[in-house]
Amino acid sequence: MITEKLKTEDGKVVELSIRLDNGVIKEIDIEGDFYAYPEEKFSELVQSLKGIGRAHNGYAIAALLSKKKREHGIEMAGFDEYDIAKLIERVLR
Amino acid sequence: MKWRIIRRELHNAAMNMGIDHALSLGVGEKIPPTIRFYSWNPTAVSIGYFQKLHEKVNTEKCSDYGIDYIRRMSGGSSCFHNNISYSIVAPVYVFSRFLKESFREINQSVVNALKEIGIETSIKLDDILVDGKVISRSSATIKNDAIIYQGNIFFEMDIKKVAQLLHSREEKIRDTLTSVSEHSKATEKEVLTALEKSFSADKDWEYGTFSKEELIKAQELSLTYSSRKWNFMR
Repeated sequence: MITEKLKTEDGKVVELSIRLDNGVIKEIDIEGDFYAYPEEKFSELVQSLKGIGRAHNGYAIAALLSKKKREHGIEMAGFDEYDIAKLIERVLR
Repeated sequence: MKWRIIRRELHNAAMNMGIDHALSLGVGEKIPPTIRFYSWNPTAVSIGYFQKLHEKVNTEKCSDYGIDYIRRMSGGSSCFHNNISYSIVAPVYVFSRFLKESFREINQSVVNALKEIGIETSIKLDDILVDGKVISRSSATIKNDAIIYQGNIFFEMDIKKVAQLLHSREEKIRDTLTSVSEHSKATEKEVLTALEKSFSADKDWEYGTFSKEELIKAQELSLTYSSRKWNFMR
């Protein structure tokens, strides 16, 4: 697993763990001291990122996360979709 | 809307989670919005929903000291609980629907209470700070159309022990956390009185106790929170 982490403007730590297969996300997990609810829906959202690969840039990933957030009524505090997209982009590059 | 205030009780970690969860299932209907004060028996460390237990908590040291560890239903940081904790469980419309704003609304009451005992503080999302160090840590989630807000005031701090339990260094704990006893001569009772006064300001409220049904449900839910499956899910 490849891990990347960052500290957000609110001082929260977001840590991403990813396993890639030919440049495509096969396994993914996001942990940290942030807030996202419903928590179970956020975990589902994270798992839905499997299949993303180098064809997606950071903006495309953030846009995808925003769309899924709205669809599932997820609220986040202490971090946002751009933090996640930044981390994924770092790993995919 | 009449609020219920429940004076400080002692519960173990799983029961403390079970109670808040049980209240969220009926609050605003059969259950009044509730502010409860409690302590942890045994003392405990908790982690946020999205944290990894084995990375944040030294579970072996916890066992050596006879200290509980538990994963909360809410996000946020790991936290050591000893003296003064409170939970607010209320229908979601009572506070801002934006979690960041509801943190500010509720933490302002804690800031006012600490001012009452002579401690000037500031808010940083879920933490309340004195000179950049955390004196109060809280977390929250929304479940079953209810907000569950769990807060902790560090009354006193055994830095060495906290560092051991949270896989940290004493210097780091000393640099990042502080406690009421470092800034005020107020007793635990005085802190609780100040908190009660601050939380109940502008509210219609009365003292109350848990119903038998609430406690049975809480006991049932506490089994999930004490399970290995829940606590080691990450």
